[in-house]
Amino acid sequence: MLRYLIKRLGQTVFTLFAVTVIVFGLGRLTGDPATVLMPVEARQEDRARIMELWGLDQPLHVQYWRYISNVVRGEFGDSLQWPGRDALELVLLRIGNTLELGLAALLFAVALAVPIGVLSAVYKNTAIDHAGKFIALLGQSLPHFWIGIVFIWIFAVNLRWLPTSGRGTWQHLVMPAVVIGWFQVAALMRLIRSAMLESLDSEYIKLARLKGVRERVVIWKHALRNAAIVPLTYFGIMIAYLVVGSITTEVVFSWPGVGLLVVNAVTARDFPVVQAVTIVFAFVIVLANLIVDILYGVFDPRIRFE
Amino acid sequence: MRSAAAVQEHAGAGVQPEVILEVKDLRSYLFTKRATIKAVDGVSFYLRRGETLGIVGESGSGKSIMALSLLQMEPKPAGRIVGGEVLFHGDDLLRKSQGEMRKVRGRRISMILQDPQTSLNPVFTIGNQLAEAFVTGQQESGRGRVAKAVVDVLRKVNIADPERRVTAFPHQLSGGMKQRVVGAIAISCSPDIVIADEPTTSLDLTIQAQYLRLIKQLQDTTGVGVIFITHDFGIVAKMCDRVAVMYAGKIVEHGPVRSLFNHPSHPYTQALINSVPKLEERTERLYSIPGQPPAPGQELVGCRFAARCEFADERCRQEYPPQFEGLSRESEHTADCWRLEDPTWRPIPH
Amino acid sequence: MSEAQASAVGAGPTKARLLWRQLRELPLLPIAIILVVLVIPAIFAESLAPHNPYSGSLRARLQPPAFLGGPSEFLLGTDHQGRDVFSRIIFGSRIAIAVAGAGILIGGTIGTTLGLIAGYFRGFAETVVTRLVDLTLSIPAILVALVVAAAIGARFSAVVAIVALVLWAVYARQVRAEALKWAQSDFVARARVAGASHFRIIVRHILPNIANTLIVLSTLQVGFVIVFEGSLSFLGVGIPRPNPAWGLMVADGRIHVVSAWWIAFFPGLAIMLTVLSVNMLGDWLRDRLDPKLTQV
Repeated sequence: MLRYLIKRLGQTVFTLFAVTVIVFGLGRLTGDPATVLMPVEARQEDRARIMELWGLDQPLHVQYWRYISNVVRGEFGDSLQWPGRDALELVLLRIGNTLELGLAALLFAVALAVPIGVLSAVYKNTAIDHAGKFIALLGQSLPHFWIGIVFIWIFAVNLRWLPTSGRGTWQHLVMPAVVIGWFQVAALMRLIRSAMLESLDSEYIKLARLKGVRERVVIWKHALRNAAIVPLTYFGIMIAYLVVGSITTEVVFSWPGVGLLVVNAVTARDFPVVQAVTIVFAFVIVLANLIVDILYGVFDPRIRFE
Repeated sequence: MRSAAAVQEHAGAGVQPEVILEVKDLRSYLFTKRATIKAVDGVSFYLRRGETLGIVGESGSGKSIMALSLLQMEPKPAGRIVGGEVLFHGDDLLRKSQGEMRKVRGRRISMILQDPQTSLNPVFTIGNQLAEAFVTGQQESGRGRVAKAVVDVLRKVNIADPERRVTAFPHQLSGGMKQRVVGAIAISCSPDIVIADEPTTSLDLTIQAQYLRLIKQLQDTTGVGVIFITHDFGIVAKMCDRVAVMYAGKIVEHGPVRSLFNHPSHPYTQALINSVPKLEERTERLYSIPGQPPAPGQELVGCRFAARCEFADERCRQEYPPQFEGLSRESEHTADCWRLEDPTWRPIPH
Repeated sequence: MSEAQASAVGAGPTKARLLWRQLRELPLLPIAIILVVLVIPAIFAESLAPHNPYSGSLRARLQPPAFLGGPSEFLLGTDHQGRDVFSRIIFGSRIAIAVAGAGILIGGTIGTTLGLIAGYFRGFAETVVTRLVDLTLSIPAILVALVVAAAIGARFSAVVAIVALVLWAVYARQVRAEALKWAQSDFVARARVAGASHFRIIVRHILPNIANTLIVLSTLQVGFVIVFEGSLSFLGVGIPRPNPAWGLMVADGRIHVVSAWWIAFFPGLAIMLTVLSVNMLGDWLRDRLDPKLTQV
């Protein structure tokens, strides 16, 4: 288990490092980072400060070193939209909101995918199976930005069951969480279904039945417990998708999270904020992957007790 | 080999113990898109209380499907029992619903599967899986009593230090120990019959003998009846009171072990016996039966073994032979072969 | 009796009959939808669209669709600039196909090439490629798109480039796994013994065997690309205005959703129908051609 952890940690560090390189490179795509990092109307002393912070007049490797040390210290400079506000601070203020949305979406996705996946496997090739596949496929084909608007129109504007936008009560959380989560149901449900099929086909399930165990217990205790490990590996990828989904969804629902922040920053060419968001997102994704891998090790007794 | 006296002792009154399981003309087919496979094609046998019946046959003879069919566990979705009766204490198991069968499985009739590596659920401790056997069979209730029962049954299958083992996961145990745990699960609810489907085939040779001894020991102490399925005639000789030889879904010969070994009456039985290498003899080559068993799904008439039998004639190929009883003066020794019309005939190879 | 290896199935049906049976099993609905919503409009846009997608009159702005009581010349209504929604959707299909086609072609080619190299030659090349693939797949594409857009603004070439950047990794990973497997096979070993060059082996022997995987994978990626491009355009970092990209139309229509819901609804519906059909087709293809393809 320890060896497994160390290996994963090493990969994590490497990935984070690579991400910083990429962002660094993208920031200097135009060739002149000065244009990217500074608005045209910046004052002289602001210009000087930014030049100093990023070492823009220095050779590239010095710039990168300066950049890395800044990132590590969390120093991204001030936002260009709101001078005087630190870019990272802006991000951290809102990261909680995005995580809240992401968690709700995750719970929704799991709550939907597990029963659909299990039932699809148990009633393989029947109408239930086909219906489940279709629901999942539908979720995967709905663009977040569109279905969000459609939901708002149906549930907020016409039926008036839920609020149109913003954050506040749990009702505000419902629609955006469903929009993001539904997309994930397809992949998750397919994984659970195939894992269940394999599990149900195994000898230990046969033995459980031979013990006289009730079918309901066979499915939901014996088979599922084995099958549940499989989708866990997908959780890592899923978190990345949740992040991506949150960007457009936050825009549609005006959810005050990091996604909305970064889109506005892009429109306003506020590169320090964009940079801060990207690094933070990457960090969160990588960290989440690490946690998932650790959990995987915990849940699979074969890895835990090596 | 259990002595006649031991059998008497369990039955009392100097007669054979009662028949607790009677299988009559069991037919269990596999319906696939390409063909219908008659895996079990009219199998009949019986088991007395406390005795060991061996079912011998090559792989593909239908032994495992037959065993599963006894408990209405034929492999879905292709498998289906199409006919016959399985009378357990006079009660036809094939007429029972799944709910009723659940009460039989594990409790009155239990089963040991072949591969210990895959029989146990990898994510639950063996203590948990054993406890479930007790609770499901309603043998015990209450945490304390169940825990004690688990430890007791582990001791019964000769697992050392059972208190510690209870929290172990299957992958932490050796193959032999896993199979003992499976055995423990099988006897946990004191069933009348244990069906052992090739329990030692996946074990190391050195462990095999140990395990067979364990089965015999358990039988002696609990008086449970055993249906021992194997392809190894040597094991049959050591373990069984009676034996039924299975080929291509049918039982071709059946009788007390001694009688069968001394007077094998079906050509297939003779061939099987020949294929067991005897330590005392020095043989040039291992004898193996020429030819192949019939392909699954093939429509067959006549004796199934005729294609590989050196004694077969045209009638054997066209008409399935009747059953001849009382071979070698044993009322229970029967075989299905046309050659036995001549009561002195024996399948001696040329 | 031993010659009776007769198969349980009788003599098989004629070739023509088999073909007809297979054709009947095609998923006709998805294919029809794809043709109607994506392919035919893209090819025949000029003939099919009743109006110019770029010009509209302010007098005709925010008109409801014809079937809801609006003017009969605007089948699906008009947007905030008086442009015909129906015509814009038709021309938008061209953008969708262009982005998907270009992205998949470029990304697929790069990815397949690198995947083949990694799987066949192993060693250092494989390590490098796998590391790059892992890295690429761990960074969300939209984020990259946003960063690039913040730097250089939204444009068609940027969208295609980013799509290719994401797709190459998906292809590379799959192709590498397949190439690994095929490189071990017998006929490759035989070809090697016969003295065939590496290039020849890869092209002649391995590539045809992974063709099925490539077909399935490409079909499944079309859906992803269309949604991705839609999202980018919606956020303003994809196809620039005033092009009738479906995502852009949804963005424009969002502000008017209360009074003129059709502006946002129909373009999004087009995306949804296209992607759903493509995904269903992809699933069907996968079941036929390459069931082993693990998909998420």
